[in-house]
Order: sequence, then structure tokens, then C-alpha cells
Amino acid sequence: MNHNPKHIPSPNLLPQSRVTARRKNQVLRKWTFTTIAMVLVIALPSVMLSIQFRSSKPADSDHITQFVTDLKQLQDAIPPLQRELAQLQIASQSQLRAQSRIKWTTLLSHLASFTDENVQIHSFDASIESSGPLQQIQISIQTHTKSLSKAREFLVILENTGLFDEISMIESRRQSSAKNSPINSTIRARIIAQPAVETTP
Amino acid sequence: MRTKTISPIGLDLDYNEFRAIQFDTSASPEPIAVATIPRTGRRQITPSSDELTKLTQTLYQRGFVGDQVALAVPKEYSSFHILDLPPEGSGAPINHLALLEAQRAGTHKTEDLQIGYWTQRPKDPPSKFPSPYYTIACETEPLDQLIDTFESACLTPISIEPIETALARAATMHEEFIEDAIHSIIEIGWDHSWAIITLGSIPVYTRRIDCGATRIRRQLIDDHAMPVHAINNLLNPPSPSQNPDSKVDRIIATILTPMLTQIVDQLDIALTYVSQQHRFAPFGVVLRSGYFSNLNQTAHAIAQRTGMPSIRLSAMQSGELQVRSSISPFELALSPRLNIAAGLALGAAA
Repeated sequence: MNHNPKHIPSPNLLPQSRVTARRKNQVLRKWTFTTIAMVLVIALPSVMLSIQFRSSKPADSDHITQFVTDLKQLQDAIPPLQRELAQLQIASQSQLRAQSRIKWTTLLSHLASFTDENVQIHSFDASIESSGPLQQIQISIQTHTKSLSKAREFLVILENTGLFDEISMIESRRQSSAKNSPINSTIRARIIAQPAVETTP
Repeated sequence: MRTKTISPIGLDLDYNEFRAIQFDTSASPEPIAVATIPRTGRRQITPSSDELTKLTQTLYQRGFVGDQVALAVPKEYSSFHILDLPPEGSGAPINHLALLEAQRAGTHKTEDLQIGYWTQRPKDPPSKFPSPYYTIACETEPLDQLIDTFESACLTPISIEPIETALARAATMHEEFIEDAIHSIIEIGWDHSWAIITLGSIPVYTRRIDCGATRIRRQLIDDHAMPVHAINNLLNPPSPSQNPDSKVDRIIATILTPMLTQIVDQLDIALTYVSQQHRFAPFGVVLRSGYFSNLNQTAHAIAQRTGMPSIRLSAMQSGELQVRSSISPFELALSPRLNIAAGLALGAAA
């Protein structure tokens, strides 16, 4: 052989537009392939997880069914518990109110113990006022005493009991103009009580 | 371990048949698959869908590999020009100038042309004077149709090369093909024949001759009522006839003589023209390619007219080309018809 055939000229009349179009298609194919490959790479783990999930469906399904049953039972148990809780809250509130209530028996027993022939309680009034978070019990006591000093002693005694947050004598006068006529006094006292505990039903 | 390299499928088509060949080009080119597929008599170079189906099936069955094909420029829509243009390396837009010259020649109905050209080897130092450019111009529309047709059959044309350079490439496989001599390649085709003159391995002139194998076939049927299978045997002889005195050979000789005379006359004109252009180049050989290149009568007609020795150009039996055992003797006998396809395949593989 004399000549390497590669040295022979080989003009190619393939239209340039075709060559360009093929290159574009090649690039497009590569781009598409790359895109699909990337999508697969991203989606593959999801698909595998999905397959794994599907393959283990019976056991998990049992678990889910059991879970749903338990949940339903728990949900069914909630209303009675709520009702019980409400009752307990009401009872608790009542108990708290009872605890915060003035021990009128004790108070009245004390008052009675301080009376004698010199000091007599003519009337006893009490009213409860709510002022903000506090409850105020206004007490008005009208006394008959033989003398003004006895009235004042009675006031001091009451004050010393510590049952009242405030106590004062707002009026004191003789029943008549006679010199030894008894003294009518009005003592006003105030007890500030803690509010009842607020509860929700 | 070397990597195996397979050439594209060289595919030559005329109105009679498809001719395909493929090489292993890992080392010396080695044919690995050949096929000739008859056509349906369609008078268009672009194959029909049925023909394409048959072609692709046959290629698959015969062991062809890949979808890339190397095609020849359809001669019906192309023209050959020798143009004096600025030398290579001058910076001139050679392709554009060649296109303008081909358009100005007015050979084609349209100015939408594709251009391919080649020159002789560049001189050292480069010439400052215009040099001849051997230019092939082909109409774009039929080229596009051809490409579309093959692409519709999932075959991808990667090159469309002139038969001149394809045949020159196949011819260089011959040891007798010495450089710097004037050689001739006679390609007897189905409808037309070509006389291609090369200076060394570079084609410098081509001449179309309006006769081919179809004329002989028609005469044998019309004038001598020869059965088709006998004609096919004539067109595909396994070897040169050993009995020139047989009745068939006498008939063939009678019919062939006028055609061969026409062909060698045109060859002589082409050789005279080229030898005047290149006065100092010696004459080389004439290579016979295509139909009837196996016949002694063809060799005799060439020798008698030109005084030059002629050699049968065989794409699979020459030079370093090795033949696999899978290639049958019948296919070897067809090999002179596969020269264009072989040149196309090797050109696209380069």
C-alpha cells in the first residue's frame, strides 16, 4: 500500500444546519438525561421509603389499628373524666369557699363572752361587699353600756381579739338626758376576707 | 488489550441496489460485514419506506453494527468544478467563493447548494498564486430529503462524500497505486459510469459517461430473451470467465463492446486532458471498479485504447485489507461494486 487512506481528502457535504441541529439535540439529550438522573437521585430515597413502608404494611397496620382503638377508648373516657373533674372542681371550690368563710359561730361566741351586765349587744348586722379581689365584711354592732368607759373597754376588747381588720366606734350617746342613763354605741368593724378560689368547671 | 473501533456503515446506492460495507478499523481496516440489497426498480435515488425497511432488516441480519451511515453525494444533483481560488492559508473565504463560482456556473436549477472541495497537497512554502480547487456542488433540497429518509429509518448519515474521493481512498489500498502518477478509475455504474483521474491519490478530474449496466441488462432481455437469473449471474460473476468461447460470452462480448468503446473513449479524453495539465507526471494504472470489472473484455478494451495496464479494484482483496472467513466467495466477487461504499466508510471513520 502506498498511501494511508486517512490522507485522502474527505469533503463532507452534510449541510451545516444539520450538524448544528444534531449538536443542539445532543446537548438537549444530555441535559434531559442529567435532569432525569438528578430527579431519580432525589426521588429514589422517597420511593424506597415508600416501598419499605408498603412492604411492612401488615405489622404497622396492626399497630395503627390498635393505636386507633386505644385512642378511641381514651377519647371515650375523656367526657366522664371531664364531668368528674367538674364535680371535683365544684366541690373544691365549695370547700375553699367554706374554708374562707367567716367563722361566725366563733365570732358570735366571742362577742357573747365579752358581754355582761355592763355591756349588752343590742343588734348585730353584717354585710358582705366584694371589692376587687377581696371580700369585705362590714359589721355593725349596737351596744348598750352603762357608761361610756364600758363602751370603750368593749371596743378595746374587740380590737384585741384580732378578729377584725378595722374597728372603730362611730357613735356613742346616752339614751336619755338622765345622768345615769345607758350609753348606746355603734361600733363598726370590717373583716377583709380572701376570695374564694376560682376554678373552672 | 486494544479497543475495537468500528467504522460507520458505508452505503452506496443506485437505482439497482444498495451496497453496504463496514470495517473494523482498530488496526488495518478489516471488512466485518458486507451486503448488497436489490431495489424495487424505483427511479429515485431516495429509498422508499419499503426499501428502507428491507435495508435495515438486512443490515441487522448481516451483522452490521450501529446506526451511523456514510453516504455518497447523489450524482443526479451534483456537479464537478475546477476553480482557481486563493491558496489555502491566505485567509480568503474559500467556501463562500467556491459557492459563488458554482452558482455562477448555472449548472443547477437552484442556488441553494452545498459545497465540498479539496486541493492538491499544500506546497512548501505556500504558494501566493491561485491554486486549483476541485469542487463538488450539490443541491441542498435532495440532500435534505435523503437525510430525512434515512433518519426516519433510525439511520444517521454522518457524512455525504463525493464518489471521487471515496474511490480514490479505496484505490490507495492497491500496491500499484504509486504517488505522483496519473491514475484512472473506471467506475461502471448502473445508469452511468465515471472516469475519475487522480494525480497520486488526489482526484483532479471526473467525467460522467452516459452508459451503465442497465443498458446491457435491457439488451439481454429485449434482444436475446436471456432469463433474469442468467443476467444476474452475468452481472455477478464469481471470477473472470474461463471459457471466452462460450455462446453466452460471445453474446456478452457483442453487447458489451459498444458500451466499453464508449467508456474507454471518454476515459482517453479525460486522460489526455489531465496529462496536458500535468505534463511531467508519469502514467500509472487504470483501476476497474463496478459492474463488469471482473471481465477480461473490459481489461482488454482499456489496454487497447489507453495502452495502460488495468487492475480490478476490490475493496476487500487488495493491499492491507484482510478478509474474514465470514465473508463468502460470492461477496468477494461483488467487492468491485463495493469500492465506493468502502471508501465512504473508511473516509467517515478517519
